[in-house]
Amino acid sequence: MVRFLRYFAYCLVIFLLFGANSACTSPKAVVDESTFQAGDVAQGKKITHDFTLKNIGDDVLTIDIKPC
Amino acid sequence: MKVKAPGGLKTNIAPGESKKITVSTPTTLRRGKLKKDIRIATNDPEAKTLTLSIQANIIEDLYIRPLSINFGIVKQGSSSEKDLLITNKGKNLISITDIKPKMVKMLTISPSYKFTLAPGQTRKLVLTFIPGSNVSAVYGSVVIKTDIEYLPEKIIRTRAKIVANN
Repeated sequence: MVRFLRYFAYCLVIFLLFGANSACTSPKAVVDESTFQAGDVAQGKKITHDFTLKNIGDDVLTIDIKPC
Repeated sequence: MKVKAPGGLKTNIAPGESKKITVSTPTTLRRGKLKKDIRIATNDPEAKTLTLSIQANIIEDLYIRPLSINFGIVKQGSSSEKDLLITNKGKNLISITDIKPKMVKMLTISPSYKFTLAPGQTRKLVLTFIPGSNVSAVYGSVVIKTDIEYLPEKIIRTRAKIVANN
């Protein structure tokens, strides 16, 4: 029993030091809408749309945009 | 497709901040369903890749068929004729302000003068290919200019293979 409690305490310390810390400091990316439906568009007209990407996490979000 | 974002395509977003990503795509050479995607690689452990998509249905107000013309094998001393149909499938008048063959001196178009198409109206153009003196494959195009602000011209590709008249 003592051995178990000691092991539990050890795990708790490790979690508080590293696990909880990293969980609190991760970035989180959220987009307002991932698909924009432009509907019927006359051929020749340019389609332009603004997507908004927000970081609701508490660490810096790094993004690398790659048009397909 | 063009993508713009403040700070460039590879950038950082501070906690609580947001960034506008502007995506634009031309539609001049598109017909029917259009889908354009951009992928964003992130350091978010729960969303390593995000996909943003633009979808549309491209309508041809100025409907020209065929989209390209192949006169096939044409013997020197003969000629080949093909029809080109231009239809106004929109709701407004369309003026065809100019019709010219580009690069191919062996191509004539009738009529080649300006005309106007009412909604629903179709006009037939006759393209005549008259081979030159060189035996070769010939590639060219017909440029049809319009008064449509966002579609100033449409290009129809042409080709032919000239052979000796033996």
